[in-house]
Amino acid sequence: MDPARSGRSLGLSELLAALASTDPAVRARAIPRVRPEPGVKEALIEALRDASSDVRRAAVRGLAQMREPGTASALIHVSMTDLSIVVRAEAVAALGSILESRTSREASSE
Amino acid sequence: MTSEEDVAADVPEHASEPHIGESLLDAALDVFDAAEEAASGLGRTTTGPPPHIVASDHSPNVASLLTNSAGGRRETLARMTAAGIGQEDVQAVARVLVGDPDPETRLMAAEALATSRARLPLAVIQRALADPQDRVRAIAVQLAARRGFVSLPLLIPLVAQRSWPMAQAAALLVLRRIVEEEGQVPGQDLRSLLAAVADMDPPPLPAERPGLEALARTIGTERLRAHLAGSEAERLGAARLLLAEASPRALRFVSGLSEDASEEVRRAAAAASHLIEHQRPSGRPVTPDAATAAPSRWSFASGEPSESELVSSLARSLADPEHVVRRQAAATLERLPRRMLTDWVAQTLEGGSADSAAKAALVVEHLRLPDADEAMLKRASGLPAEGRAPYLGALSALKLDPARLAGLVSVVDPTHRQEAVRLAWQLGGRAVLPFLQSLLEDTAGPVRMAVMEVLGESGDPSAVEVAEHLLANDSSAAVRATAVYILARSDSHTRLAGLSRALSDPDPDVRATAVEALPRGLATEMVNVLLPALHDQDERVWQASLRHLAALPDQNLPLLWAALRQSPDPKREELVRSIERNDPERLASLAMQNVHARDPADRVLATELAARAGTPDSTAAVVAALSDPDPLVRRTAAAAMSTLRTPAAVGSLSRSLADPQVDVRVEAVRALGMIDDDGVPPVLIAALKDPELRVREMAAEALTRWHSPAVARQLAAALGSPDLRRPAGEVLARTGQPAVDPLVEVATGDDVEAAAAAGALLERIAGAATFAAYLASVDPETRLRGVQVLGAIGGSTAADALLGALSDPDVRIRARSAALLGAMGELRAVKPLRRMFLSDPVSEVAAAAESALRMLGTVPQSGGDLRVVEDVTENMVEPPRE
Repeated sequence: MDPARSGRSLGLSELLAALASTDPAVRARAIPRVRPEPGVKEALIEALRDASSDVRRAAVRGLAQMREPGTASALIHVSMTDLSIVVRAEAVAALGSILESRTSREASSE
Repeated sequence: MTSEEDVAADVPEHASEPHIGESLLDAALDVFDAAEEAASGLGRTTTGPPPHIVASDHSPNVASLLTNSAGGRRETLARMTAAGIGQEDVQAVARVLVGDPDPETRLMAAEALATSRARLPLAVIQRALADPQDRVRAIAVQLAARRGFVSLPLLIPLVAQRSWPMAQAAALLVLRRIVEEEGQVPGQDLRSLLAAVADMDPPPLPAERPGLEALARTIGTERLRAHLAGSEAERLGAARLLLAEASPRALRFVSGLSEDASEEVRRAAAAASHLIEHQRPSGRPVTPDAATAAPSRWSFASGEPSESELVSSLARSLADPEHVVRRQAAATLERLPRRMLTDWVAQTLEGGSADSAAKAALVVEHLRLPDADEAMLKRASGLPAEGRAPYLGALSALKLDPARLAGLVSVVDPTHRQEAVRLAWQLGGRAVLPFLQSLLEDTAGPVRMAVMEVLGESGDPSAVEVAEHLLANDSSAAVRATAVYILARSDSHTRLAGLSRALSDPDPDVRATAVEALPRGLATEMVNVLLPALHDQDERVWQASLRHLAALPDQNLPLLWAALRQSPDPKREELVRSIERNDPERLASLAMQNVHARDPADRVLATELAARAGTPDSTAAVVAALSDPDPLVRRTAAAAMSTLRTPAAVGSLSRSLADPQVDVRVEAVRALGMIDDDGVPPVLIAALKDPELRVREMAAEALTRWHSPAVARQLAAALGSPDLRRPAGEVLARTGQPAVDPLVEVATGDDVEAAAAAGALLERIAGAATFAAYLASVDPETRLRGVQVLGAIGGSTAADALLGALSDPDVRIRARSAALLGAMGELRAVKPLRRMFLSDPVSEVAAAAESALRMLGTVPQSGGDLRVVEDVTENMVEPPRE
C-alpha cells in the first residue's frame, strides 16, 4: 500500500519505505507528507539525487520548508548543478524564501 | 512528457526550399542551404531525421524581421516570442540569430528559438556558438544539445573555454544531459573531452568543479578509471574528472598515480591523497543498507551559508543558461530588501573576486541598482576588454545620464582613467562627448590622449580644433602624436599646416608620427615636407619618410632622385629597398632617366640602380657604361656586372681588361668570374699575364673556382707559353684532381719544357707512385703512358719504375724506358742498359740502349764484350772512364 495516499503525515521509516519504491510518483507524493523529525533532512538531501525530477523538486520544497541548518547548502548545490530546469528554478525560489525569512527575522529583532 | 522534454522535442520535418530574401540578412544565412554538408563536415551523421527547417515566404513576421530598423526587428521578435515561435518562423528567426548586426536582437532570437521546439542544423548552431556575445553562445549550447550526440564535437571544446564563462557553464550542464539521455558517450568523444579537461590551465577552478563533478558521475567512475592507463592527456583528463567527482573510490584510483610520468597527473594524485586523508563521512545514513550501498554521499558545508553567500548563489543563477531559472532568480532577488542587495553589490565590487564581482554586475543589470554605477565603472576600467562584458551590460542597463557617466570617469583611479574614458564613450555614445572634453585638462597624459582618440573616432567637428590646440600646447609627446593623427584625417589645408608644424616638433616621436600620418599618394604641397623628414637625424623620422618617397607619383621622380643623391649610403640603401618593394619598375625608370646625365656622380648612381633593376634596357645601359669616359662610372659598371652575370657582357668586359685603370680591370675580372660562359676562361687565362698583381690574383681565383676539366685543359695548354707557364701552373695546382688528365696529355706531348712543367705539377698533385702503378697494367698503352709521365716527373721513384720497365715485353716500352733513363742520367741503369744493348733481340731496343749509354757516358766496345758488362758494379754512382 502507498502510505502517501492515506492522507496522514508520514514518519521517517514510512518516508524511507516510500523512497525505496520503484514508482517515481510514490516517491514524490511521500515527501510533502513527512513530519519533521531526526533523519528526515538527511533522507531529503539524499532524495535530491533521485532520478526523477519530480522527486527532486519535491525534496527541494521539503527542505525549504524545514528551514533546518544545512539545507541551504544543499539547495545552493542543486541550483548550480541540477539538470532539470524546474528543479533549479525551485531551488532558486527556495533559497529566496530562506533569505527572505532570515531578513524578516532580523528586521523584527531590530 | 515533462516540460523539458517538450522543449527538446523535434519539429516535424518538411522539405523546403531555402528562402532567398530581400535584405542584408540573407547574406548572413544561406547556411540552411548547405546545412547537411556542413554537418557531415563535423565528422558525424545524424541518427535522427534530417534537420530541415520549415520556411515560409508568406509568414507576415519574416518581412518584419528583414526591416533595416534594429528596433523594429526586436519588436517583431518580442511579439513572435510572446505568441510562440511557429514552425513557419524558425528559419527567419535563425537568420536573425546568425546574421543580425545588433547583438541584442541576436540574443532575443536565440532566446526565442530556445523557447521553441526547433532542431537547428549543426551549421547554424556552429555559427551561433561563435557569436561575440557570451549569452548568445550559452543559448546556442542549449540549441546544440537538442541534436544529441552529433553535437558533441561542437560542445566538448567549450568545456575548457574560460573566456566564455556562460557558454562554458552551459556546455558542462548540457553535456551531462546528453550523456544521461543518449547513453554511453562514444569513445572518440570521451577522449576529446578528457583532452579538453587536461588542457585546462590552471586546473579546474572552484566555479567549474560542480559541473565537472556532475559530468564525471554521469560518465561513470569505472569508465573514467579505464582511461587512467591511456595517453598523458587521457590520464590527466580522467584524473581531474575523478578528482572533481571526489567519491572515495574515485579518489583512490587517482591517488594510485603518484608515480605517473606526468607532473600534472602526479599533482592530481597528491590532491586525491590529500582529500582522502581529510574526507569525513557526513550526514546520518538514511537506512543501514543505503549507508553501505552509497559511499558517495553528498557532503555540504557544515556551517550555514551566510546571507551574502545566499545572495551570491541567487546572483549566479542569473547566468543560468535557462531563461526560466534566470527569471526565477531575478524575481526572487526583486523581493529582497533593496538595501541588503545594494550593500552586497557594493562590498562585492569593492573587494570581491572577479567571479563574485561579475555576479554583482548581473544583479545590478537585472535589478537596475543605480548606486552601483561608480563601482561598476571602476571595476570595468581595470579589466581587460574580454572581462568587461558583465559590467558593460550592467552599465548599459542603468541608462546613465551622459553628464553622470562622464562625471564618473574623473573618480576612476588615474591608472585606469583612460580606459574609463573609452568605456564612457562606448556606453554613452555621441551624447557623452561634450562632457568628456573637460577631461582634456586632466593631469594624466593618457587620459587626455584617450579623450583625443575618442573625439577623433567620433568625427566630431571640435576634434580638429582640439587637436591643433593640443599639438601646439600639450606637454605630452604622446598627446601631441595623437593630435597629429586627428589632423592627418582633416581637410588638406588643415592637414598641411598641422603636419608641417608637427615636423618641427622637438620630439622625434611626434615628427615620426607626422610623417607616418601623411596620406599615400601625396598631394603636391605635401611633397616638400618629405625631404626635411628624410634628412632628420632621428631614424624613426627618416625611416617613416621612405615609404612616402618610394610611392611618389611619376611627376615627382626628380624629387625622389634628389633624395637618393643627397642620402648617405645606409639611408640610400633603405630608400632603394623601399622603391624595390613598392614598384621595381620605378628603379629602372630612375636609372634610365639619369644614365646619360652630365654629372658623373649621377651616372654612377644611375648605373648602380640600372644593375639593380636588371631589366633588359637597364642591363644594356650598364654594359654601355663600361665605355664611359669617367673611370668611376666604368668601374661601377664593371662591378655591377658581378650582380648582373649576363653572358652578353663577356665581350665588353673582355675589352675592359685593356682599361688603363687597374680598378676597372679588377672589377671586370671579378665580373667575368661570375659569368657562366665558355668564352670566359680564355679571357681569364689571358688576364694571368696582367702586369698588375691584383688582376692576376683575381683571375687565378676566378679560374680556380671553375674546377672544370675543360678549363684545366685550357690552362694545361697554357703551359706551352713561357709567360703563362708559372701562373697557369699555380692555378692548375690549386685545381687539383680535375687537372690530372689534361696535365698527362701535356706531359706525354712533344713540348719538352711544357712536359717538364706538367710532370712537376703531376708530382705535386698525384705523386710519381700513381703513375708507377700504371706499369703493372696488362694494357701496353697504359704502361707506355705511365713510362712517359714518369719520364716527365723524374726523380728516384720514377727511375726505379723505369728500371723495371727495361724488361717489359713491349718493344716500345723497353725502348722508351731506356731513352728516358739515359735522359735522366740515371747511372744505376748502365748495367741493365749494357745487357740490353748486347742481348736484346730487337735492334730498335738495342739502339735505344746504346743511345742511352752514350748519354750516360759509357759506350760498349763491341757487341760480344760481356766482360765489360760484368765489370760494372751495382753501386756505380760515377760514369766509368773511357
